[in-house]
Amino acid sequence: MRIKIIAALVLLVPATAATAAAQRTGDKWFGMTWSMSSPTANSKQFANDYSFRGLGMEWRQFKGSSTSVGLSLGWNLMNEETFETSSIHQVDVTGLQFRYINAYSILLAAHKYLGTNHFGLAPEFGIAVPLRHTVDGEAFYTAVRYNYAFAAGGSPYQSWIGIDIGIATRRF
Amino acid sequence: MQKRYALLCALFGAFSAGCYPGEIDTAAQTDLVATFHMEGADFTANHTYDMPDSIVDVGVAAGFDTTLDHSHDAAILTKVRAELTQMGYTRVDATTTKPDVVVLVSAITVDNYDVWYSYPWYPYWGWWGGWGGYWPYNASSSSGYYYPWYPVTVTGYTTGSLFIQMIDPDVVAPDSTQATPIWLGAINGLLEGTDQQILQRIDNNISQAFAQSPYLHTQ
Repeated sequence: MRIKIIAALVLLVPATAATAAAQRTGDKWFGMTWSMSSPTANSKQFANDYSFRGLGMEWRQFKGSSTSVGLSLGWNLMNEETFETSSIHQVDVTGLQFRYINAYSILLAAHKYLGTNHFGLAPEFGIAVPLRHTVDGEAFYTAVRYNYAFAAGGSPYQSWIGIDIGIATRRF
Repeated sequence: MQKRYALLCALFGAFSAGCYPGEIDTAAQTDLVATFHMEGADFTANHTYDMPDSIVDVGVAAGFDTTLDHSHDAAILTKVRAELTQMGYTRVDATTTKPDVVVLVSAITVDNYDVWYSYPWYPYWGWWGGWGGYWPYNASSSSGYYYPWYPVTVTGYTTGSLFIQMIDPDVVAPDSTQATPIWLGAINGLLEGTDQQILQRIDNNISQAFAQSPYLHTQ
């Protein structure tokens, strides 16, 4: 049994990570992450296991020193193996179930940055640590993001907390 | 820098794809037990049953060849009888006493074959290498194309299904030549492993069929 979710949301995040150097309009940020996920609510009922399988890619373009807009693409695979009986009307079926949620998220993102140092806090919770102090900088960054996909196609809403670990580079 | 990120992307992708979960590791994981019961059937009204001492081969009955092994028929029928007894049913001889229900056990095996003739690059990497240019086009060859040996892989597996039907003679079937079961237990699985392992799985699955049908109790 598999569920595929494609979410296209406009995400407004009040604040997130900041890198060491001040940003300017036109600066670009590109990051890739290993994306883990912890399903919640309906998703947790269906596929309970914490997932270590996922990828994320993010592109941002700065509009001023503390604001950026961008696109975030993600894939999270949540799964659970369970042996149980499912009943529908006069039918009962018992067997090992391989349950999957393949969540593909496409997020339009806007970020507002707090501070000029290495840390930022937000609903999307993030930390960016520069790997070297150069203008054309690379950074290690991690983020915790709550994802919510609206009910569609007969499936109830799905939600999960994504834990992203990755690296990013900033270009001018 | 871009090359480095492309490499990282490829590594991430390979890592994620290679770790796709949910593979079947044992034949027992393929086992499925399904039960169906007629809506409104009053199972508490039934107390006696009769059951033939043989398992009907559905494949033969339909006019096909069969690979069904009948060596475990007695063990399977004994198990079904034990479960019915536990449910409160008493076996009677239908030639002298009309039973409340008739229990029929049937089975079928299906041989499945898959033929793979696409190029299995992975297992042969190591000794197969050495072609020039892109396969199948060989830029250094005068003909341009050549026909490598396609390793054809044939995989086969056999699945088996066991059906336990409970028929109430008092329930009128739509067709006079047919009988309508008021309960059906269907067990399906991959027939792999030793006879003992298969028999153990069948035994467990028969137990499961009755366990998930508590309404069969006569009281």
